[in-house]
Amino acid sequence: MNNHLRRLREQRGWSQGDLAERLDVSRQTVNAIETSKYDPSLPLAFRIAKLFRQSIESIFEPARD
Amino acid sequence: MAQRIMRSDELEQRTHLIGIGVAAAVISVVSIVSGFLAASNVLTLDATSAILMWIFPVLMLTYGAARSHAARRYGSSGCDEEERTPLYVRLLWAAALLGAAAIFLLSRDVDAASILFGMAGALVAAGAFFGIRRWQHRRAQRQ
Repeated sequence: MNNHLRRLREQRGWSQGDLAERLDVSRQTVNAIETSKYDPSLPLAFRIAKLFRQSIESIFEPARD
Repeated sequence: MAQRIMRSDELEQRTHLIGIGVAAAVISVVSIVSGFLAASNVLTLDATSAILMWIFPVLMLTYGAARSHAARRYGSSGCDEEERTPLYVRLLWAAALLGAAAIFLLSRDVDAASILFGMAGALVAAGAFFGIRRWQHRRAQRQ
């Protein structure tokens, strides 16, 4: 799954640590999501969408085969 | 251990699960093979007790190695420690516990004391290694 998390975070001038603190997860988790190595759970995806005031599907999209 | 996992986020819980799963599989295989060998009198009682003594250290080492490998797969550098107690401190605590157990066994003239002293020494060496690595990593971050 691809996502626009890094772009959204950088637009707000936040570090990975800042975002991790806002989402109540570790910095490693934010890094793993940004690099598409880990797909977040649905509750975490909702928290991310709520934080950036966007829909889940505008942040996350299925990987192109 | 349970508190540590409960405090973790979802990705860390996944790496804990992978570590515990791999460690449980390795220890289960070692235990059942040792059990069959002991039941068929291939292993003596002394050899069986020596194997049992290694189960806990091997379990923890396998768990640590598997979890570290899983964390690296998700992009962690392996040096990112955001936990309350750093790894080297936990290793030194384990070494102290094994050392105390070894001294207790030595006072009772039990042969296994030397094995426990060896384990404690190995843990001190591992603690020193991770302590130095952590110090070097922090120094590199400051520069």
